[in-house]
Amino acid sequence: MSKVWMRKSLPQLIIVVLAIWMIAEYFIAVKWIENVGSILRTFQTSVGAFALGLGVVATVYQHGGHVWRRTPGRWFYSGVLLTTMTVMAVSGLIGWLDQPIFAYLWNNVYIPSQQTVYSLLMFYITYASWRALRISSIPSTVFMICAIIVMMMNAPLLQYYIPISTPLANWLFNIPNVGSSRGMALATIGGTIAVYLRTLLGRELGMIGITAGEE
Amino acid sequence: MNIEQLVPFILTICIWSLLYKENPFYRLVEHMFIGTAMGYAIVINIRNINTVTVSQIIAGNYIYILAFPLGLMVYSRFFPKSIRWLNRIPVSMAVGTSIGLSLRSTPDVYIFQQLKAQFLPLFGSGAALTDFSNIMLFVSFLFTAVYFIYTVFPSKTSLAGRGFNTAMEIGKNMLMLQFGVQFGNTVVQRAAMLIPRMQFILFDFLGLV
Amino acid sequence: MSERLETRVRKSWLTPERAHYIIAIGIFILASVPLLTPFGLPLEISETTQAYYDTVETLKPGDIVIYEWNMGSAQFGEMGAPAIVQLQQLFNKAGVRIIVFQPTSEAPGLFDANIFPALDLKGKVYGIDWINLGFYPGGAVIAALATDPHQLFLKDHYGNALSQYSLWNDYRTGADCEMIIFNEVGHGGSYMTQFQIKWGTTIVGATVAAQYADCMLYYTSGQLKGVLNSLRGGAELEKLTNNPGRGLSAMDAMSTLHLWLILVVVAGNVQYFSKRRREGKR
Repeated sequence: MSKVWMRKSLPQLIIVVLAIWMIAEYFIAVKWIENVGSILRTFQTSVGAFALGLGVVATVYQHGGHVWRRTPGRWFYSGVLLTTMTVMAVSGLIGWLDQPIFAYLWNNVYIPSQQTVYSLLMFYITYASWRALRISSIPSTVFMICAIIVMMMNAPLLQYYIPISTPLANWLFNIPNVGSSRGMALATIGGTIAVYLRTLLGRELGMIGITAGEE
Repeated sequence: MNIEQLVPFILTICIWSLLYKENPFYRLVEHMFIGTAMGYAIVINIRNINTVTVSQIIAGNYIYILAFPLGLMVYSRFFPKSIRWLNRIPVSMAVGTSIGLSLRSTPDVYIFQQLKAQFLPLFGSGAALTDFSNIMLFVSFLFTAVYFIYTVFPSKTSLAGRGFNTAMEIGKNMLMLQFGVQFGNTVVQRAAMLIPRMQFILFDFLGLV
Repeated sequence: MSERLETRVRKSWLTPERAHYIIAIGIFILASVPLLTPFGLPLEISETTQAYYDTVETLKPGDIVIYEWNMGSAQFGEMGAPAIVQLQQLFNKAGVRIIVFQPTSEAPGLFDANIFPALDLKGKVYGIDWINLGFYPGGAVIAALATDPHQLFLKDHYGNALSQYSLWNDYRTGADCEMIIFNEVGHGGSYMTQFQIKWGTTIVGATVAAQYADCMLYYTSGQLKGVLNSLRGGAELEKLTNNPGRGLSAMDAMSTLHLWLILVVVAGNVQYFSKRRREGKR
């Protein structure tokens, strides 16, 4: 088998066969087609289980490199990262949350840190509102007014003292928001179906990492 | 004050110190939590391979032994170009299955059901607000859909062209309305991410309430 | 006006850095004061939360519910309180059987460490009244859960064979499931395409606030029977189920933070227009 066939045509063939089988399984109620479809789905889940480690390998590769080369200003932090990772992994593999070290790192390091990093977003959205929400044009004015009305609805204090905010915001949610969301969603789903069909026809293979002109 | 919660409190303050400026404490905590995340990912990955793949083989479904070479092929992207292409095999399996699963019912769920709900009677409902709302629903949908027509390039001088461009302008404003609604709700999300941290500091650590 | 005075007036004291510090200090104060001294304002129940509550209350003894939690620790602060009150409402319903399912890798740890310990299981027996499938990755998992769950799902989260549990033996396909409760950064689309389209399964759920506007599309079309809007929806459900928790206590702080943001937007516009006017006069 030629190199081009293995590297380009075989993945395309796999995509087409699996996609058509999944569709056929749905519309054709034949037992053996359903059984094969079931096996294919289980395969995808099984293979997907291996893919979780990709980020870990990339991280170890990058930060291990910093420690190895003693990159100034970075190697110490990379060392902390790799050490914490090792301790967490070993203790978790021994006993999951029954293992005290794993449970401690999960409850007292990972969860609080993760939540605190995301809590910074409140500050950033307020900074962004200070700088960007301006009455400078019609679209930006529409944006700002709708945002403020919805914010009034979501805050019980403002809901209580500005009663008109609730029915107005509900109307905005249920009518113009839904209408324009539908327009956008239909355009998006049309584009998605087009990409899927292009992928099945072999005209779009970016999903599997084949760029134009590549073999 | 609850001393058991001292470590999470210190980590929280170190991360919040980024609001002042980038500093070594923030970087240290950032790397620690990425390390714990990676450690957790290793644990869950191995547990998952055991639950999903190994249990199938133990149950007598020996065909799933093939899942091991296929799964390991995913890691070929870290190797030289001569074998890097191997990762396309499992990825194409995932893509093919996902496309098939999506295409078979997406049109019904995302197109037909939505269109059914969209086209409501514009007049004669008996209530002026309902009629106005249905008209507004139709108008916002129509002009937003017009905005996404990228294959028509009307001239700016002809009547039809000017009409089309005006429709696109209205569609743009409808989109900004939708984005404004979404932004207003996003503030809830951001606030909901901050408040639990404040609850932790005030209730769990300081024990003030 | 003298040249020196003009220069001083032209340079605003409110530099971006100072503005950021004022905003941050305001956020900290306005988030903490209402938590310490709650206003106790009434909380209006939204239509979608009421619909969620009413739909879940229609469950009868013997009904099987799939409860999905498809989020990570980043969303836990926002969606943890709603998850606890949702599950407690299900566990409070006598005879309702629950299959807990987590398609995200971080969810099992969150459930074991933070969510299940906060629940009162009301005497429900594992294996008969509820099971925890744990984490299964990939997009095909939901399709497998609908069409052939016994092929893919062999073990539960704790490593036990699922075939020993009567609840799992009663669930053969999606037709045996009465309701799906999703918790994800989305609108439950996978369940609509895999379950509802075939068997008309009732779908309700909770989502992050940024996706709530998106969920309205499917609520108004009748595909979703109820949606909780993030922490606010969780607080409303706490009020409806008479089970106050962290969600309700957060609402006053939610109000003050929103008010602060609106004031910041107004102040930003005032500064913008005054700057334009100054530049126009020069």
